[in-house]
Order: sequence, then C-alpha cells, then structure tokens
Amino acid sequence: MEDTNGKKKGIKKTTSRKLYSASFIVAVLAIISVSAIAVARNNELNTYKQQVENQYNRAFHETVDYVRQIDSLLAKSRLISSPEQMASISSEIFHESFAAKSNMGQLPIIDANIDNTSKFLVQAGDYAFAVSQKMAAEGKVTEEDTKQLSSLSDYCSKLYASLRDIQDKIYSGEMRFGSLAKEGHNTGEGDEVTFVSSIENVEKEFADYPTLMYDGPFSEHIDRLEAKNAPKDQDIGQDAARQIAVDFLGPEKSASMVYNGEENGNIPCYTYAAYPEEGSEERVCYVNVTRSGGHVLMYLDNRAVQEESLDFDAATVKAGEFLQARGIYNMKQSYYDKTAGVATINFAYVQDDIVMYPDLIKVRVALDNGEILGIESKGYIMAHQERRQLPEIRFTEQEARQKVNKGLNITKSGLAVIATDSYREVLCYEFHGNFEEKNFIVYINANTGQGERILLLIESEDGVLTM
Amino acid sequence: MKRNKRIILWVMAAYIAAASLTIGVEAPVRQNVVHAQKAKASSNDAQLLARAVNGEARGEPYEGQVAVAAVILNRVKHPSFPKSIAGVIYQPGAFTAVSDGQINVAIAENTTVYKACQDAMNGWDPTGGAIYYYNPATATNDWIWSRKVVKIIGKHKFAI
Repeated sequence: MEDTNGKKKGIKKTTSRKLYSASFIVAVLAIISVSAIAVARNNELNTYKQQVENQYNRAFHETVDYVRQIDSLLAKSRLISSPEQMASISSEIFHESFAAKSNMGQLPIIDANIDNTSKFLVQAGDYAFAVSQKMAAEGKVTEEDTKQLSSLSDYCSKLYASLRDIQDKIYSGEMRFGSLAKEGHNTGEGDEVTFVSSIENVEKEFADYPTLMYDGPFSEHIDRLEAKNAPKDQDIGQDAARQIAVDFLGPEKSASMVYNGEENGNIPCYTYAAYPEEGSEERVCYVNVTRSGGHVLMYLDNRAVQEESLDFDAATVKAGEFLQARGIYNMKQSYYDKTAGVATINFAYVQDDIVMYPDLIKVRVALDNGEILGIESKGYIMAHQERRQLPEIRFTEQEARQKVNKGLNITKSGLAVIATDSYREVLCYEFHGNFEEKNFIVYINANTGQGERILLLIESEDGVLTM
Repeated sequence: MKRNKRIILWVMAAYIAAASLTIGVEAPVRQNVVHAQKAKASSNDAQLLARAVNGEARGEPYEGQVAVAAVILNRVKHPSFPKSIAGVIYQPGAFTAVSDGQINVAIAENTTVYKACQDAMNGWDPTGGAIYYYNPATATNDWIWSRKVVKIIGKHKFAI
C-alpha cells in the first residue's frame, strides 16, 4: 500500500511538474511573441514617424528655396525698364510665391501666428502682377510702385535669412519637426513647439509690414469695403428685423420662427430659424436680416425636393416674381445651375439696358413646385446703387469689336458693368460668341479699350456656369 | 507551487492583455471607402469637401454643415491658408476629422452633407465669412479663444 501510494505520489508529482514546465514554456513563448510583435509595431511606427518628418523637411526645404527665388526676383524687379520685363518677372514671382505658399501649407504650423508672413507671400506675387498690368496699360512704373517693390524686396531678404537660420538648426540636429501636428499649441513637451515658435519669430520681422492697396484679389482694401446698401453705423433693431423676416417667410412658414442669434461677419445680421413641419426639426428655414438696411442677406430652406416638374424657364419666372414681390425690380437672370432638384439662378440689376453684374442675387427654386428655397444677396447689398455714375464711354461698340480676337464668332453684344478681382467696377462691352464649338464671353473696357476678361461658358443640361 | 502557477498564469494574462492593447492602440483606423457612385456632387473638390464636412459635422444641424463647408471655402480665398480645397483640408493639424481619420468614414445614404456643400459652393455662408470654428466644450487651444466669434451654430463657435 505504501509503495503504491508512493508511486501514485510520484506520478502526481511528475504530472504537475510536466504541467508546470508546459505552462512555463507557453508563458515564455507568449512573452517572446508579444515582444516580437511590439518590436515590429514599434519599428513600423518609427518608419511612419520618419516618413512624416521627411515630408515636413521636404516641404520646408522647398519653401526656403522658393523664398530665395522670390528674393532674387524682387531684387531684379527694381531695375526693370520695360513692361515686357516686368510681365515676365511678375509671372515668375507669382508662380514662385504660389509654390512657397503651397509648401508652407504642408508644414505643421496651423496655429502659428504668422498672418503677415503668409500675407507677404501671397501679396508679393499678387502685387507684382498688378504692377505689371498697370505698366502694360500705362507704359511706365510709378514712383510709388518702385518704392513698394523695394520694400517688398527688403522684407523678402529678411524672411529668407530667418528661414535659413531655422534650416541650419534643423540640419545641425538642434531642431526637429516632431512627427505629429496637433491641434493647439503644445506648450511643454514636443519638438514641434520649437519649430512653431521659431516660425513665429520670423513673423516678428513682419510686425510693421505695410498695408498694400493695389488692383489685385489680395489687396488690403477688400477687407475694408463697406456695403453700399448697409452702412456700418446703422441698426434697425431686433423688432424691426423680426418683422422683416416674418414678412419675408409669409404667415405659414414664419409661425414657428425663432431668433437664431447674431451674425457678426462683414455685414452684421439678426438671424432667425423656422421649422415649417410640425413636430420635426429636420426641415429648417434660415433667414439672416442685415442690421443696417434690413435686407435679407441670406435665406435657406433645406427641404428635400420631390420629382421635378418645372423647367428652367418656369423656375426663372417664379424667381423673378418672388424678387418683385419683395420690392427688388429690374433684375435679369444670367447663369444657372441645377443640383438635387433645385435650380440656383443668378440675377443681376439692369440700369438703362446695362447689366450690373456686381449687383448679384442668387435664387434657389425647387423644381417640383416652384417654391423659393433660398436667396443669397451679398453682392447686391455690397454693390447696389439705384443710379450708378458710369465712366465715360470712349470707344464705340464697333471699335471695341475690332479689339476682340478675330477667331471669335460674335453672336450677341451689349454693355455691362463687371467687377475685377479687386472689386473695382469697369464698364465693358460684352461680346457673346463661339470659338471651336465652345461658347465664350469677351469683355472689352468701354473707357480704355482694353480687354478685361474672357469667360468660358460651361453648358450642360444641369445649367450654364462660367469659368 | 499553486501560488507559483497562479503567478505564472497572471503574468501570462497580463502579457496577453498588454499585447492586445499594444495591437489595439497601434492598429490603423479602419478606413471605409466612400462610395463614389452615391455622390451627387460631380467634381473632385465637391467630393473631398463632402467627406470633410461629413467627418467634421455630420451630427450638426443643416446650417452647421453649410457653415463648416463655407469655412473651408473661405480659407481657400484667405491669404493665411493654402490656396486649394485639398490644401486647406489636409493642412497638418487643421481639422480633427482629418487627424483622426473621421474624414474617411462612409457618407450615409440619407445624408444632407452633399446638399450642404453644394449650397456653400453656390455662395451661401451662414457665418458671414468665418475662417475658424471650434467646439468650446473640447477646444484645448488657448489661442483660438482670442478670435472674434461671429456666429454660434449647434455646438460650434465660428470665428474670424
């Protein structure tokens, strides 16, 4: 008995010992495999990090390179003597500053305070282009322009020097981008803080960067434009605004209307929201009424449109009636576009048969029942005047026609006011025509005889748009 | 011995847990491909814009979706930001939905984001020109608070 007992004990002992070593092996294997996975993952992660870092380095290197090019081009621009030279240099500056900007946009500096540096890069190209346009028209550079170009050139040299300093630090290993661009400033840890703050140091050179006013889309005067139809210092008050919104929506839709807060953008508004379907917040009508002038700046109804039963002509009639019912007269439709059963039709003001394209109102019409689903009248509120003082017409239509490229087969013509990229208004002859099976509109300035713009019409069954 | 075994078992369990955590943490976000044929918007840019708005504001009221699209378009025209829709959307750190992969989430069939983007592209801008927005409940950025708020929509503050 004792023997057998002892044997049994022995067997038990060996089994548990086997179990013990088996589990030990499993554990060791688990540890090894887990560590292997972790190491592999870590390597992979490092590869990604390195790749991101490399991307940043490339983008920064290219930025510095383009700034160097702009620097030398701006230096040269001070010695140009002919419009042709300026045209060639300005188009190069334009191209290089676009590329610099594009590379800067790939760096992890979203919240670095570098507004003036960014503005400089955009304006360098924009301004040089405007000067070249002016030279082409007037044959010479003004003293003011020369002074401005030389000032831009100085700023660019400083910018280049600062960027080179940062680049040296990156090459010497003093600074790294860090691999992640996070939202917000990461004060404390992380290498990217150093990069962001170095970039912000560059901005200090631009503290007294001048305000540039010129004929281009990024000129400073654009932000300062005041709405002709909504002078800044007036306020009709919330009660009056509310009444305007109610009248605009009509009794049915406005029954559920609530105040939706202020909108303090370029043209300050009181805003309202109405929920025309009872018990549902899915369909909403938004109305923004300007504090000054009490105009409906924006109206938007998000109703889903059912099967289409109206064509563009019928929709245009509905839109025109809607505008007239709200006291907006002499509007003529121009371009239109259709998406998801809604036609968006552009209307412009007409004064003595001359189309005033800057006085623009866009109207959305539901193509199922003709209901008006939206109004956007920023252009109209910014630019509209009952009677515009128009510049002198110094070229006859016949003379202007001679200035259009002979290739264009002109089918229609008239007078129109258009706005340039810098919102400068010019009176033009408008020539509609076709060339190699594409339709174009060519604008010739009626005062200077210069070609102002060429539009290519994109026509499809969904509308007519311009490019 | 029983204690030893238990310890070994615990150690194993801990390692396995740790391993699955490491894998879990580092596994790339699963990226659903957006079904292109559902896109009403025809152009390249419209599709990208819709994906960004879907990632950033699909739970927001309609006005908020139009507003987010408008902010992206306003940035394209602003000197401080890249000059293309893709440049603005993929600017490092600019949008949470891009940083965390939400931009790749499939756009639901009954969505309003395409419509909202179309309205923004046609010029409707409920913010009156905003170039920033943030959620005051989650914004960790001191600097963003210094921008002038022009409109509040849903849980977002829109600023210039």
